[in-house]
Amino acid sequence: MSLPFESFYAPLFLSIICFVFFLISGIPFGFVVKRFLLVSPFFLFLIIMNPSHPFILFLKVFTSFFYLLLFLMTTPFISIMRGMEKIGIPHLFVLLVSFGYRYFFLLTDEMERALRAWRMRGARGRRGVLEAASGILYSSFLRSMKRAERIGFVMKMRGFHGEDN
Amino acid sequence: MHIPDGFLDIRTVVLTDTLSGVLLLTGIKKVQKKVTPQSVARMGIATAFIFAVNTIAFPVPGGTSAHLTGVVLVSSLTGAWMGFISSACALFLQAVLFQHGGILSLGANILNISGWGALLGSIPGRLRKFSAASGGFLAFLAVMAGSISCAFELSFPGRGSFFRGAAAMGIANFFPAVIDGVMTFFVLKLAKKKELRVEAQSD
Repeated sequence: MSLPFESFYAPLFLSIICFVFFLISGIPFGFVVKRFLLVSPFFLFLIIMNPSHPFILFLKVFTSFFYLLLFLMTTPFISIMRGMEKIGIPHLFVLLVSFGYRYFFLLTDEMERALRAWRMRGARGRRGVLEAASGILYSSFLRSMKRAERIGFVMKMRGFHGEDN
Repeated sequence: MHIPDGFLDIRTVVLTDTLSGVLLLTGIKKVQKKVTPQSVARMGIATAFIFAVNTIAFPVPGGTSAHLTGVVLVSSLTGAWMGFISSACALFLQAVLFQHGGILSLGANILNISGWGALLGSIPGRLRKFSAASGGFLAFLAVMAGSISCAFELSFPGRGSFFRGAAAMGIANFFPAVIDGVMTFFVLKLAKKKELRVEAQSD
């Protein structure tokens, strides 16, 4: 990312090394392609914005993305959290990220179940779809906040005082 | 709108990471002054909520999909700093778990999505008369402002034309912004009807 625009061989060399690491790590190729497709709309913006060295920029993005993917796919989430605390990221931030990770799957499951039930009742394609979906989101938000209250009480009972403990 | 790694110039990365880091530290310090187990749990759940609503997409014209960002919604119901911190944590999780946005460009993404969302989302709470329509409009505005600032960051030295980028970003994000605005309006309308205002811990 910090390499000058004219440097072509450095990102090429780095991407070849990254490719070797990918082969060693055994990360499925299909998964890597799927993740890369997530970034692809940004290349369209790149073409529209007409940068001075599009190919080198593409190579840089390609290299950065694959190194990040390699790091994230080979490092457990808990190790990333510990590493963040060791480099001085505030405890509250790490705590909230851990909370988010813990409850994300639960909330997504709940919301998807509610949306599926709503669709099964024949809601698709009718007027007021957004209004009805908003109702589901609102009830999810309320349930989440009620759950937060309960979690807060449990945390208090287990000795959490709000400081770094 | 989640900028992946490698697209931004190194100077932009340093500037945006520093700025969002300072804002996050300020927010955390403000929140920590009166932190309780309940407020921590509430912010943690708000993080998970923002992250979860981001994954539920609705099809929009043009073949893409839109989703509720939830930042304006959470900020207007719980307070600006709480919305900002929760949304920043959600963006970090998105980058780490789904590579939706980069790690080095996280600062820029926080400014574009959480920054605008929290700034504009704090306005309905400050108004004497809490209005759902203003919340919906501000949610629309937050997405559009985020797209413009995203184009600005992408166009920094030698990266291309800002106006072309802003036009492309604005067009691509128009329908998602409308959906975000409409859904925020409906949710705030329901919240107003039920007189729900989660106690703001941070402001």
